[in-house]
Amino acid sequence: MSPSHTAANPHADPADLHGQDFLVSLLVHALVIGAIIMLALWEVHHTPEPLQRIQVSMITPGELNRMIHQAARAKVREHEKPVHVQQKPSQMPSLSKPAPKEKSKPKETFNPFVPLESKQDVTTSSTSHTHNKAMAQMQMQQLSQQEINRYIAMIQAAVQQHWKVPLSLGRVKNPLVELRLRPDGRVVSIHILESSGDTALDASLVRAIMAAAPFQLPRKQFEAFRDNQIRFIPSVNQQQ
Amino acid sequence: MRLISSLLLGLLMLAVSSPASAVEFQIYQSGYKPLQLAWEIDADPSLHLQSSQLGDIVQNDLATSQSFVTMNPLSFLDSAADSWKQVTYGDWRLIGTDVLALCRLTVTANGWKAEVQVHDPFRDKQLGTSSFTAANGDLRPLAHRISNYIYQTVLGIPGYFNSHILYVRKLKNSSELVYMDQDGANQQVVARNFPILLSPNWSPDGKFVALNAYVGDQPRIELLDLQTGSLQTIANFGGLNSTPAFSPDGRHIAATLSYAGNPQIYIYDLRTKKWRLFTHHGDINTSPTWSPDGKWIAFTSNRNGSPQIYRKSMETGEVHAVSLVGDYNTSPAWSPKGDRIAMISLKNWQYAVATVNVDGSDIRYLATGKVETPAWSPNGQMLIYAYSHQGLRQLYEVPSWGGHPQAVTPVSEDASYPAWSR
Repeated sequence: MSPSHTAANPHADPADLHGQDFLVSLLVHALVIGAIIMLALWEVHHTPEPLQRIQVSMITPGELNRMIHQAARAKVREHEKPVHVQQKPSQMPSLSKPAPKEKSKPKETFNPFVPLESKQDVTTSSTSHTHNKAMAQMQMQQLSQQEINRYIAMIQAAVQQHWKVPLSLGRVKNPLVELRLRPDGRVVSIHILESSGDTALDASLVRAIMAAAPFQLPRKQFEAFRDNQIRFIPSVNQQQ
Repeated sequence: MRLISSLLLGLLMLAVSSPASAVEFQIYQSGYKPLQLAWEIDADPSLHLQSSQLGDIVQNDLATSQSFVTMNPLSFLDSAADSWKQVTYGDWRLIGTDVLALCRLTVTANGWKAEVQVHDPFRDKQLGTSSFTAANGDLRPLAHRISNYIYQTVLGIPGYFNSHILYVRKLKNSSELVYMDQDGANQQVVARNFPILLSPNWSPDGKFVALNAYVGDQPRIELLDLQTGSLQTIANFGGLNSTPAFSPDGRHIAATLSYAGNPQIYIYDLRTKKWRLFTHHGDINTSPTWSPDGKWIAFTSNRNGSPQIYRKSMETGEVHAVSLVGDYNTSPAWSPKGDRIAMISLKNWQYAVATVNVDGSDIRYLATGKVETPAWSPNGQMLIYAYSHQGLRQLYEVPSWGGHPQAVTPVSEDASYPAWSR
């Protein structure tokens, strides 16, 4: 725009624009206020449904069999001590596939919708260390190997990309690094368990991990990735 | 090819999950990568010219090593003055700084003072701090010392930035010996008017140069005193007198003489001033190079038909083959670290600068073309060689672990036979 053009009609355009702007802003305000009112009303009318949860556990057929047997045994014991293994009704899935009622079902049949075995692990508090380990074990089994490999591959790719070895080293060993992670994928600590024998190379490993972090981790199966051990293989030790 | 294969290996890594809760896996190095270097210098505004010159030299040194790549100061979040007060590692991590080098240049009563700090932002750590002084005048030696300090602090290996290079410059009718800093600066002619000049070799103390000079059409081995410029003839026999090489202790010079028939390797004792025969195999034996411990000499020989590299023990006289691959391997140069030997190798009808383990294993090709006479940097990380292109030779250097070749001398002159100070 040349200055002469704007100078030609200095009054007409701005006045027009102000009028239109005012209208548009009024409309927008009205819309927004309307939307807020609608939402507020909708929120009131929307009664919160009771919490529903369906827990799905990946288990092998063998484990399933074992669970069925245990359930059967538990039911038998239920006769003697009925208080002990009573299911909580809140954990029962209730919506689309109504679970068969306890009364109508014969006692020896296994109800697959009730988390029997996994209940012990999931509901116990995660503070206990031994239970944590058991949980990690369980999760390692449940999370398929393929899935674990996928997350490992992501960590490998990220660290490898950031691993900078800036010159050739003499004879070095393959260093082993312990990497502790937080659930959000950030680094808690890095320890060189086995040094390469070269301080500059050891430093490059820490730099690589710090530069690659945070890592993407499976949220629920995080326990499997809390403690990691990485063996680094420098070029000089790779097969030609 | 190596890079691709190692990359593939890296992608097809073994994922092993241990029975315990810890995940265990491997990560393969894929090639060599330079560290990102941020250089910041704080100085009085009146020293702007000097401080930027100092920075240019240091950054050029570290970048040509190809172990570092310098970062653009426009991306820096903190000024040099801020960083000298307090280094905010997070700011440097944010822009991917692997190494932060801080410098402060001040004027003293009789020269310069440079304080240097080296930081590792990803490890939240100061790696070292030091201070350097220099008399008034050229800032280059001071800059090279700073480069050496940063290089050694980060990599744990001594730098080579204060070293020098000698080479032969061929003019129309004569040749001259040129001396320069490793970065190509401060060129000066130290000896001139040779009809032909070949293979200069430094003494370990850097004071003398043994060279193969022609007087008329007669080759001689001469000893040049770099301080006085005087020449002393040490071999003037009939036939060939060529390829001198100082022993690591500086007492002996190995060279090729042919007055007794076939070219053989002889060893000259600088104290007794006597030559003695070292190889006595019937065929051609030439271009000796010493192992850094002085216990072996590697050389080129055609004893089995084609030119190949062998090494012979000074103590026992036993001989082993060094080059095992190809029909043509010449011009050996033993690395100052002792583990590898550089040479010129014919591969797929092309000459190449190659390095090989002393036992002949793990050959690696670094640069191809019409290449000749490789020589090592004093720390064993770089190789310099002559590359012939359209009739003119130019000196190139390449990292001994790969990287890309980069020119050291200009295209306008014919440069050959590089020798790196030790």
